[in-house]
Amino acid sequence: MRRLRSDNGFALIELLVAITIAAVGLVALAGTFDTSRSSVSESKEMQAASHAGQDALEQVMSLGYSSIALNAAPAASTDQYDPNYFVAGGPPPAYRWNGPTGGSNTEPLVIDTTVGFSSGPLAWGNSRYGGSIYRYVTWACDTAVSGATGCPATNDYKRVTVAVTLKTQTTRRRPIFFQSFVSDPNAGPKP
Amino acid sequence: MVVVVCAMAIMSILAAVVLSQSVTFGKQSSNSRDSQRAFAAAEAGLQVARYRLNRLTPDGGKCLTASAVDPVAGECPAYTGTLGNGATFSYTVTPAGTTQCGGPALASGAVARCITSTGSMNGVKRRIQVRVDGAVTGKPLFPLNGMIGINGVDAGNGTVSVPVKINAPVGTDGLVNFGNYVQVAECQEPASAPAVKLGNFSSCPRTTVASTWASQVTPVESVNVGGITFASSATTNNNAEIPTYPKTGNVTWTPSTRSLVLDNTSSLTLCSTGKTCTYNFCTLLIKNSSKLNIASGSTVRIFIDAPLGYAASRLPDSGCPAKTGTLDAGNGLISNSGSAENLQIYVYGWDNGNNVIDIGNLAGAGGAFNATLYAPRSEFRPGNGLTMNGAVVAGKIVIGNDLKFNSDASTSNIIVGGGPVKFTRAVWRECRSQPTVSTDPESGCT
Repeated sequence: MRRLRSDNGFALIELLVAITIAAVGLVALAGTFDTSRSSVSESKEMQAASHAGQDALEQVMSLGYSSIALNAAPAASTDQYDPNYFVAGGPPPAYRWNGPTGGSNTEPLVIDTTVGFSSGPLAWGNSRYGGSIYRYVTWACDTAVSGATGCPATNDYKRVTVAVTLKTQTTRRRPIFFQSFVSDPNAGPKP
Repeated sequence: MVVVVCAMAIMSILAAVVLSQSVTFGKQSSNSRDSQRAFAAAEAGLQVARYRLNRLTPDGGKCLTASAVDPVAGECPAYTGTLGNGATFSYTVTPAGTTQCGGPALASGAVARCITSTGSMNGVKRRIQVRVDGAVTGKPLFPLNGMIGINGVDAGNGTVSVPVKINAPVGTDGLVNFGNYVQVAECQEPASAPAVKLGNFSSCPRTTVASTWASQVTPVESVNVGGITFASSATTNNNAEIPTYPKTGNVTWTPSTRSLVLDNTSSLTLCSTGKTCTYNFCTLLIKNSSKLNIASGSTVRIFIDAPLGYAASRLPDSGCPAKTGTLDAGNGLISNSGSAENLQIYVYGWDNGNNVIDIGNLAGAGGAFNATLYAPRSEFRPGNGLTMNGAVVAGKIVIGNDLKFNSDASTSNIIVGGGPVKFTRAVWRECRSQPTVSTDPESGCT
């Protein structure tokens, strides 16, 4: 018996399966693209935050040594995502300089109400992303110079810490910390 | 179906590429963040190093870590510190010199050190280097790059073939009394000095200086070289290392009296390569063709301290027995292959000026005596046949019949007084993240 028509082409069931696979695939691909897009966006934000942090650090470091100080102690925070979380009330007011790495060592904040600058927060960023910058200056004691008995009481040089926070994302991120030292260029020999 | 699968495959490839790119971008972003924090850490290292340099004022020949240290195999060891954000820094500080880290020429009388600091964060490194310059505010210990015999300079008779030859100026406030065949570049004397007495075929063109040499010479009590004085050298020194040094034959070291005696063709090598060593002796005798060597590449300061009862000005007392404070190498040799500044001999002397320093010449031993001798209250007697390169300040100089003396420019590097050098940042540059020569921590910064 002769076949009346060819069996080439799609059966309805085949078409449905293909559409289903394509739909699932497209959804997965869309998810991948979305993940990539948000990852790139987050990376851009982090990079911008890094630049903002470095700029802020360099601005502080470029001040005259005596001007590198806060004008007031920042208020401590209980929010561990807030850089002020590491502020210790004192007296004297202090900062947990190695708090970002889980440490508990504090150093007194350098406060000068006349020439000091505000700890912050200072806004950074643009319409797409941004956050806040916090600045801290503490007195570091150097046991190589002041000895074990002289530390931590001696003020050898200043530690500058800059923390950069990002605008709230889907998951909160800890601040990015930058840190360096600045020493008195006029420091003379140890008596 | 086939079309759908193909389209899906193409889209999957695209997705993979996009995902890969986003991961790569994320890594680059992370690296950039770590790089910036590493850079801040490197700057922290520079700041700490310079602060310690100016506060601890290490001797010019020393490196600096947490304290003044000697170079190891010619290179300075590193100090590593940590910051509170997980970054670390590591720095090296070279000894003071006149050629460091490139950059413009140093100002006259200045010295420089090279600080190289590496910051690290999550394996990302940044390395920077600065030259710090410091003005030397003191004055050269040797006011004349030649020989000064404050109270007089005598010389015997040379010969036509072997004249006494001093290729440097000679200064004195007293009498210049030369025999025959004594050839001296110049006699520098104040107007009050007596006329020069020269034998036949001798020469010493006279130049008048404005002030007496006695007034220009730093009193022995005030000698302070790189922070080291007679008093400090008595307690802070390398004497305890002497038993560990290479030696042959009859070497006797007596710590209680700070007496070092080399006898019977013995030999001893002081210090070690790359180090700066200070010794304080009450007695140093090099007898019977013995030889005291200075380790190659080292700098040695020998202080012959004041004897009890013979140097009233030395307070507190040196602890040396009476009638010591002597250096006698009349029948021996002190061998230094480096420049004169690498062997510095300081002799406190006796109040009566009768202390005698003999530096002999081992016949046939060859080699020159490269050294500086600072002994304004002693009489210096260089032995016949001796060739000396360096500078001398003595109470009196008595030359025999055969001496060759040459000045050495390095002696002007020995500075006294003026306080420690304060270093300020002069040249800054960023380096490759790793030294290009593994044994040279300053390399890779051109």
